[in-house]
Amino acid sequence: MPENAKKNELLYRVYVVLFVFVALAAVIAWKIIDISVVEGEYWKNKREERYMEWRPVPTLRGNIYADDAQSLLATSVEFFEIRMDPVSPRESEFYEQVDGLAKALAQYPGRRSAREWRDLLVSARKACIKGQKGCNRNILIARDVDQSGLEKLLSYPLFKLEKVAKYRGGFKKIKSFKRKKPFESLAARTVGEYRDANMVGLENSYDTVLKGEEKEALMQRFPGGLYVPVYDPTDFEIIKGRDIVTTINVPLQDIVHNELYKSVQEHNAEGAVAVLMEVKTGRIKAMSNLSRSKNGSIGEYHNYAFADRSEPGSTIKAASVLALLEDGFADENTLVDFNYGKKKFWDLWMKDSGSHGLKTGTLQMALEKSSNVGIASVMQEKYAANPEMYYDRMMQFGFDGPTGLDLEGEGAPYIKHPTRDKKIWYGTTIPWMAHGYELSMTPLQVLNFYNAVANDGKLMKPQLVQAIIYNEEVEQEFKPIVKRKSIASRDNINRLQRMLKGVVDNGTARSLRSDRYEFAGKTGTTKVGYSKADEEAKYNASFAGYWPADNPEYSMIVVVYGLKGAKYYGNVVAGPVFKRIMDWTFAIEGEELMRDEQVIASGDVRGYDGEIYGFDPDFDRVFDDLDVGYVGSGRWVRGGNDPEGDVRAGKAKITVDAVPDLSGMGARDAIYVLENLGMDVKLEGVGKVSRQSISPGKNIDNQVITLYLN
Amino acid sequence: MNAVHNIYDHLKGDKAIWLIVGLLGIFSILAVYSAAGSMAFKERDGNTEFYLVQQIVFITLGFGVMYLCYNFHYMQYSRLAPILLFLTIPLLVYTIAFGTEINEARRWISIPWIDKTIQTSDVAKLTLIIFIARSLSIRQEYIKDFKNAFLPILIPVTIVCMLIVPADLSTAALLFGTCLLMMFIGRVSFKYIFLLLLLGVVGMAIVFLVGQVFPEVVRVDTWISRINAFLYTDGGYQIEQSKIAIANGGWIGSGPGNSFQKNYLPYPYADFIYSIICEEYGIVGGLFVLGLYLMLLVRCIGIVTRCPKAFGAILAMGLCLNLVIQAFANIMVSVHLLPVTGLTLPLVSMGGTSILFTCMSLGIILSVSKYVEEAQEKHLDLIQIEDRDADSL
Repeated sequence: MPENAKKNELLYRVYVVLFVFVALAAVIAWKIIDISVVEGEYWKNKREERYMEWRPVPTLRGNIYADDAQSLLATSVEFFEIRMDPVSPRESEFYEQVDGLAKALAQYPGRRSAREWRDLLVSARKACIKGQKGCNRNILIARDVDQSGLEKLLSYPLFKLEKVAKYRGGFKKIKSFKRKKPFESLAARTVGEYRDANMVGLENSYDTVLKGEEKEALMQRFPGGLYVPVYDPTDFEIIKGRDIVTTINVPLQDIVHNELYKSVQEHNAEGAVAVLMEVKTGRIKAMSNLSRSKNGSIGEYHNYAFADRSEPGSTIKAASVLALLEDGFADENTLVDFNYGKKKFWDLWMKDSGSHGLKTGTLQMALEKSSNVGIASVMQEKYAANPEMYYDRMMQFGFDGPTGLDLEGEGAPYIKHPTRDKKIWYGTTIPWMAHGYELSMTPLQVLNFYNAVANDGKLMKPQLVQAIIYNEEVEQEFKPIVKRKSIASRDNINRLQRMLKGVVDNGTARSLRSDRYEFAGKTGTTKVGYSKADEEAKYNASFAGYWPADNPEYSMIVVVYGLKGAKYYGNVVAGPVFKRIMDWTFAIEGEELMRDEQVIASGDVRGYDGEIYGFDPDFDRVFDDLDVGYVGSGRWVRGGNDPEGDVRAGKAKITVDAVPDLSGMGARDAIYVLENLGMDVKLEGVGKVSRQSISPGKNIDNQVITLYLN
Repeated sequence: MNAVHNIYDHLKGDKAIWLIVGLLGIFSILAVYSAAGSMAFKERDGNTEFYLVQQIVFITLGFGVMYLCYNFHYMQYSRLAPILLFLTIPLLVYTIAFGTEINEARRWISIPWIDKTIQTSDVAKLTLIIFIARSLSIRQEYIKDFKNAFLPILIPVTIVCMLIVPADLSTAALLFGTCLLMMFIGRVSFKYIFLLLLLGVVGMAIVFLVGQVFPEVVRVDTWISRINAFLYTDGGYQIEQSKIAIANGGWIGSGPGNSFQKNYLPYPYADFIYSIICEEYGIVGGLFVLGLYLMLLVRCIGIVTRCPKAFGAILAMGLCLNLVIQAFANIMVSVHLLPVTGLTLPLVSMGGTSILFTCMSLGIILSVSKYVEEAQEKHLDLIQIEDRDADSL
């Protein structure tokens, strides 16, 4: 073949190739124009069916922890709504697996028979593909699905394909969170409520901290106000709020709650409050606010401690006495007029509650016997001419404003000023204020005064939150804040301390004495509704004090409201609650002392002695910290020490279809396990699970299970 | 302007190809930045810039590789071709046996110490095309001969393609088609080309049967469902979304970054980037990109017509055909003229290592065009230059 012919052959072949590509390009161009212009409207309309919006992504609200930074007072549990796009799966896979899927769906979540499920999915798919009515690309499969339910659904035919590739099974999950209080009513009002409006408690005050930064995602709107993220939101890094660590101590809170509850029940009271404070720091270790709902059940509905301002009654006498001491008007031995327990000030008679038959006595006796007349007489005598002096002393003692507790909305105490409140300042004002009337304040404000007395005059800012945690690291720590270095001279504080101890040793609180320890405090009984003659008399009984008397660790106030029965005195109703809680704190401390000794003892042999049951990574960390060898296999593990003192734990038997055996597991882990199994959990006691109300192996059927902790 | 002039003066070879490559690179960065918007939200916390930077890095690296290949004398490849091909085959076998599985297909092998995966088929593609170009050019004198010319070409094509088939039918078919067209242009007899075509069909049938028996080895079910979707439905969800994107764009498009459909298309930055280009830059933009690929083909055909028989010309043609067929295939999927293939738009789609191989191809083409220019200046045939340089290398 000559060169020229070869070249021609090549040229024509090359041009054939070129022609083919030019032709293809022409077809493509025609097709693009066809789609874009000729069929343009049709396709554009298809787009408008799908309306999208940027909407906030549900965030994982931070936890509220107790003072150990472990016990959860409030936490968010995630759950899902599951929907299905029947068009998303491939034709062959859909028809191969839809029967299996329908069968599984009939078991869980149920609601329809296998046949009905199949018909629903198939007809929706067909309608969508043909563009007919009845096309639903968002079929509701189940609501309120938790993690284990999610795993179950993802094991179903067709849905399984999601693991291979997204959208392949047509599986859509919409995540949201539910707020749970694992300890239920324990400190419930302090923790507060998380809701769209009218939030209260810490949930409200620390809302911006807990909720974290909000982010938005592109979401598609479906009929019925439903928004489905265009991209699976579970693929994002979960947006987490910050955690807060409160000062609340779960064992103490548990004790305070139970004792107060018993008292409200026993005395048929309207409500009660108790606040337990750490003297040196002002940290609130327990705060219980019990009241009755309309149907009579007792629960945490109203924050008395913080929001309920009322006449404090005799507990304020300590402040009156301190004012007298500070102004040098009297000391504990000053003789005051008791007038046999009955005296007229201007137009009003004042009476002492118990009969003492005394004409005169010392100021110490007046406080110990809680003589209204005694205190009022000396106060009237000394301050009637200079009422501002008394007012100024009250301001000095910390009643000049809110305590500054880190909850929103605290009001200032109400104390009349002799000139500014001239119109309502009567001749009776000083004697009545002196024993706790014609002025009002919250139980917390009274307590803060007693705490300052216990703290040798140092006034603390009460504190409920001690740290903010972000990504498991402490972001901000709140150290105790001293509001005032001293509310009175050291000498006078010591005198008052001795007098308050006298109340317990010789006075109205004598019945509460203990031979194991010493404490100090003051009883109070306030008559409420006294202004209306026809109203049945009601009383509030209170007790404020601190212990141990010589080196106070805790201060506490207990108020029981709305007592109508025969028993209403502070020393009979509030005092015993105070006493029992106090007893518990000593008992707990004793226990801790014993435990510390054990740790020291075992520290020598280097190793661990005991059984474990819980979450593997936790143990891993703990034993690593303790330098104890640990081998765990599984997520949930159970085991104990081997002869060398190392810990070995095997996979715990926790399955989705039966109630697991939880004995020996910590409360927090147990709650997590059970709630993920779809059970509601109630707790009783503190510590590890010792008994459970539904025995292991029983079927799970959304029951309520009670765990008894030990 | 001076800088541009300097670059213009400095760069040899076909200026039109340089321009086409540059424009595709710009389109790539723009389109990936926009299309990855949704993905960025998903995976990088809304940081679209990450993908912009990543794509710019890959394009820059790619252009670097291209410049290296352009400076490298292409005759080197001719010499290396048999050895490279010989090495490719075990590499492909290794991939089938131990490759990394991504998106349920085993096409990748990980390169240790840089934490990247490469598709071995990319390597195979390049070496096979070089080998075929060499074979065709040295056998031009007796090209119609079965035993001496056709068989030595047929055997490597069959082996390499068969080894790519199990994991990646599209790439195998693409390579097979490229080789057929190269043979067609390289003046192989029609009857042998038909024979090869027949062989291809028989081969497919065998693979299909193997797939029926061992579904885990060959992804027959994927192919069938894709073909079914193409033939019997509106194209399925992806194609529907792609068409909505094209329709949204109209003639002039909704503007850079304004794609709405990127939120619905499963791989807007890869398989369906052409739809996004159509949505943002309209029919005008879409046809412009299509025109760029066509122009690339026209320029390479120019080389072949000027220097028939030369190794360089056939090589450039083969590499160019491979790119253009892939581009056309990708575009045809987007406009519902082909079933879904998973082939990306060369140079434009996001994707790291595949950009590097595309740029390698373009660099070789540019290297060829440089010597074509030299031949013209010296009024020589390219073959003479090749003979001269083959000895000196």
